[in-house]
Amino acid sequence: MGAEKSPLLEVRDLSVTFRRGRHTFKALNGVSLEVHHGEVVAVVGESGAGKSTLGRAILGLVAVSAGSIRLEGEDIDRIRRRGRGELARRLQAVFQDPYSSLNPVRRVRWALAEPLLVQRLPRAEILAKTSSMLVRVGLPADAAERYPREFSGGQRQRIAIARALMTSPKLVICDEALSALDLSVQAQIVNLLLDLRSELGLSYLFIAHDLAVVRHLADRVIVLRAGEIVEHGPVAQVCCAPMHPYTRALMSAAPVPDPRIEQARLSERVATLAKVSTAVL
Amino acid sequence: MALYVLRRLALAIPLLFIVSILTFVMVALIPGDPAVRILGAGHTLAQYHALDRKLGLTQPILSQYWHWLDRLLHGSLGSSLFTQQSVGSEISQRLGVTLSLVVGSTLLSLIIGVALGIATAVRQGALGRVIDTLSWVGFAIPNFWLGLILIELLAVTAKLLPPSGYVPLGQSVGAWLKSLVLPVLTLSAVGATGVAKQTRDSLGDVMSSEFISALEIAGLPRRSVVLCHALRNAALPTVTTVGLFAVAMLGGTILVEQVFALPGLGSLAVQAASDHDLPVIEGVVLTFTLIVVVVNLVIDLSYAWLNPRVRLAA
Amino acid sequence: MSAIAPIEAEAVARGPEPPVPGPPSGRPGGMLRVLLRKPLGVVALIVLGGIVIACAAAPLLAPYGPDASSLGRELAGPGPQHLLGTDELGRDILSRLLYGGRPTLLAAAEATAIALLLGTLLGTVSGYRRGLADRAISLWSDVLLTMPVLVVLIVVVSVFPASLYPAMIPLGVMLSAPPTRVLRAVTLAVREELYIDAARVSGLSHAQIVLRHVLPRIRGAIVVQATLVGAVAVVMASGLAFLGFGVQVPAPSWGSMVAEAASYYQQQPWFLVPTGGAIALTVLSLGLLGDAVRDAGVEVWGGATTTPQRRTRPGAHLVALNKPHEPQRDPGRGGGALLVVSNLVAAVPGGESGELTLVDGISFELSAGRTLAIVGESGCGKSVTARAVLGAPPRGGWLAGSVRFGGLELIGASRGELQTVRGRRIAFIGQEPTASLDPTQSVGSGLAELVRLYSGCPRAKAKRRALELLEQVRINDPARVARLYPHQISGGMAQRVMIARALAGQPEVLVADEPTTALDVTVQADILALLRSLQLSTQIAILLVTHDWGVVAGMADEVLVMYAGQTVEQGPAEAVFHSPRHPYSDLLLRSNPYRAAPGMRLPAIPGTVPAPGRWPSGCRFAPRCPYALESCTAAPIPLLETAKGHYSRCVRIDALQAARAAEAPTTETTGGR
Repeated sequence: MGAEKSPLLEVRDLSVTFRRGRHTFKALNGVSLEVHHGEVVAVVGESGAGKSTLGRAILGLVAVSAGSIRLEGEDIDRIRRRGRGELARRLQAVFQDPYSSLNPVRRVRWALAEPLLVQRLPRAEILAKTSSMLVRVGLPADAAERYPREFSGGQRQRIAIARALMTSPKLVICDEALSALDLSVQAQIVNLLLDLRSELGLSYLFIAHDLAVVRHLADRVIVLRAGEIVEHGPVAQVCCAPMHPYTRALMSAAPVPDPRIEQARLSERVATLAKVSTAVL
Repeated sequence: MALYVLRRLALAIPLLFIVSILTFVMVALIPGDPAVRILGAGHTLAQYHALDRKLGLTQPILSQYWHWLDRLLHGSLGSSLFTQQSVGSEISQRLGVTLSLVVGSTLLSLIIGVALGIATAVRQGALGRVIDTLSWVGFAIPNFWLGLILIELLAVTAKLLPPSGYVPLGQSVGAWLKSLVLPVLTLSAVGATGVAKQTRDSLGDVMSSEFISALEIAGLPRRSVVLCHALRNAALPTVTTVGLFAVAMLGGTILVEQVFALPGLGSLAVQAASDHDLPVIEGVVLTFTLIVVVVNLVIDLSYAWLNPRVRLAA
Repeated sequence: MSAIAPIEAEAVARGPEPPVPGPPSGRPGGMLRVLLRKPLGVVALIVLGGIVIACAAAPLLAPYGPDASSLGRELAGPGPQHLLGTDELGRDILSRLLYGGRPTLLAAAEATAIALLLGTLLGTVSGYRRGLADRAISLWSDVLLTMPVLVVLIVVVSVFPASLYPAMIPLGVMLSAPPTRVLRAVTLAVREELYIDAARVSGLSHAQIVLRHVLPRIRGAIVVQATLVGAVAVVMASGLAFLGFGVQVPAPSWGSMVAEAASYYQQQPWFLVPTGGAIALTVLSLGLLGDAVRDAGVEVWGGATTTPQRRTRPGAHLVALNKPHEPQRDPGRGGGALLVVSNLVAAVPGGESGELTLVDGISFELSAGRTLAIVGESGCGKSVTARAVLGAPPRGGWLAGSVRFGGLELIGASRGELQTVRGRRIAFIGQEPTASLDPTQSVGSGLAELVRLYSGCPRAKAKRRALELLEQVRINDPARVARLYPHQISGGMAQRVMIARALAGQPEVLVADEPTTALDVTVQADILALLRSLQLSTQIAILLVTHDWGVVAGMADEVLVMYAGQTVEQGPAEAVFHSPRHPYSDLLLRSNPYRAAPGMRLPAIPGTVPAPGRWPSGCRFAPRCPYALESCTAAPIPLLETAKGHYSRCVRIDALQAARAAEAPTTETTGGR
């Protein structure tokens, strides 16, 4: 997709291990992936698969036990060491809970100005950028003077997206950014993400569990299970012709709004249940 | 569970030692000379040096502590610098008084507090707000002041109970109880109101939780919802609070023993502090700390037993 | 695609959406303003302020000097010359209290300052950094909490007998332990908030984050701790003075004055009152102030406010909601109908008119062996409807209308009547299975309890029945699971347990409120299959509340689409999916990415759902509807039967159907991928 051959993000053999007292828990085990310029790569899996951990590890919110992460060819730790704002200029994030991602006692413009804090831009420039970014995500410019609690979930998520774009990053990690939103609002935000991608040439690492959205938004998809990649490839291929049995189970379990398909699937599952019970009895 | 008990016990012992070291150091650094005090005015230098050496006060602090520790591990707390009596025996004579006070006031606070808390939690209304304010009043009234007032009202004016003094259990059960009523009432004021408020708060919290509404919608009668399910869950934070107040009331015994002239550990502490009687101070501090550690341990164990999450943890 | 274009054009033409008008945007840091609205807090603040100022200004305010004695006037009661009486040496009590307050309050302030400084520092570091620092600081707090405070103080104060101040240092250190604990807990909670993560991603340093985000968020807790510690410090300082420590006779101090009063009680009982009263009053106002600050903090920053639960009856104005032109479902119509709901209304106190309607006239029927799905987005009132079917009003609110089950009217029924139905004939499962189980009760014992409740059978039999129920919901090794506690089982297993509990009374109707929303998609498929197979074998009727159209597609025989408290469309599932008769349903189905070409913009519905209390008077969907006309907003739209068994609350169905017909047929009929 991208014109450049070298990937924007390159993750090699990433492992993350958590310790709780005497127990260790391997959240990620040797995960490798690439995101090219202008690409949307989705990471799907069920709860506990490690997809959030993957996002957080790339963002530096969680310690990495093994493996490497490179952004535009440079090791991500090196970039961080060079200066705190360095990484923020290229990598940003939008999180899942729109109610928790904005400090409730601060005005919106305060939250939007935060990514630029470390960049040391003049105040006037920050204000101008704030207004223009709000308009770009579909909110009025005077929203900057209000508090987060005056906005709905979808609107807050727009603010969160605006905040992520303040530093003009190349890659935005969306960690279940749509999961907490109503269906009608999800569609709006999907459109916004698509628009921004084409306008600003963004790339997304889109972490989600909703396969319909993933199929719509992503170019490639990675399926995670218990910290490991079980399948990956172009979205049409993985979703319509999955090879791994787990991926197949995932695809057939995801409900679609079509009664004929769903009722057929349900009857099949009910029949399997009946067979099992007779076997037991 | 057994592992949990062992672990808590293992933590308790170093705690005791740390506290004893801290107190020892603090007291030992105090200027002022016990030897001077004992001899009184007009002593000779020779007498002073002799006493100093006899009391072991010429040695450096570390070796003083080491000797004390050594003695302790052999079961002795040393002897008072003033009365020459064994610290251990002085403490054990007075321990009964203080323990009666603490146990009595804790039990009373528990019973009254929980009963009041349940009564006001289940029925909303004015009584609840009264409890809220009352719990602060219970805390605000200094226990020494409350004790004095109770003495004047119930002992002196109404002549219902003895105004002061302690009758040991061995002598007469009736008189022992009577001598404890006013002091225990005084001490319990803060505990009962505090426990009532906490019980009411945590019961209120539990009553609005998801599983209670699930039980109600499943058709369980109100009575069993509250008594069987809500109480069991509300017991957890309440147990912790009872422990906190028990420790607070232990501290309160010092003042209450003064007011009611009870020969307990508190009055011993006050006396020993004025005299700078180091071994007695150390012994009293150690005993108090031991009581606190035991109370905390009992609370922790009760909590662990009530809470399946802790009870079954590996 | 021509039908899509006008919708798109509309969306673009509408421009950016206006923010939802919310409460007036005052500064939330106006916690002071909220505090001042609490009567008890204001009184406490005034009293406390008064005492502090009076004592500070003692040389100016006191009528007499602290040592000025009037001979012949010893131990006098309150009078014009001496407002609070005199002590044993004829000195004015009021003046001595004012002068005596200074050392007490100063000492308490010293201890409080030390305690809060240490407590804030250690608490925030401990909660923010966690790990080794946290463990070390927690150990330190444990040690401090185990020390016998008063004994240590007595020892220190006996060394410096002239004043209380040196002893306040160890007191401050020991009193820093509770604030450390509390502030650590608050910091931990703030640390979990996502805006902290966002700040990290933006490159802020830890110090910047603590200063910018953590400290401002916990300042309420700091103030509360300060009042609590202050209260304890005043008590301790006066206690020490009472024992005779830290005071230099004849200088007055509150505690020592109480001791004096005690010895002279016989002659002058009044002496005790003002001396102890001063201490009590100060501590009381500190405590009440702390409570008020804590309540103000909760109000300003969210968290459940303690609104009193009023059990009021519905007012007369609710009658007007039963619109006469609404097609009244004839209760006798449904021959096989188990449950008939007519014009269900649910409201809670609130809003401008004092009453907020959440559900505004819903009607439906349930028959054995069939599933009705209520689908809608958040805030449409579907969950309230689900609970209303069991006669449970929304928290603090009330119900109106009719829910008839087997000849019994459930709305307004007595508790006893409801108990004959709940669990035994109508069962309920909710969204959060693990939270719906008593954490202190094992799975098996909870099940057995329900079995005993419903059937009255003896314990042993109930235990066996509980195991049978666990088998019925396809749990492997029921005996092992029965011994487990809720925190030891997964979400999917917990939902199976909830289903088992629901089946315990052998009900005829199951109300399932978003039963699979919190579960993984593969677990969801299993649970739905389980429900369906149970339905086939027991002929139980299911009322399924969900937001997921895919779940509806599999399970539902009939669909009811809710929007802003009303039914907007109702009919057989096939009909609603393949030819929706309301723009909301139509657009919602279209905006599902499943139906769209990948990578293209979705036909999204602009705007947001109106909140209860802000519903427009005409069609509630009109502000967002591409087919809306003036007639849509003029008057309320009735729910009408537009095809056999298919109801719609729309007067522009023709326009909708025309737009759909103009579209290429490929997007709808096959629907397969």
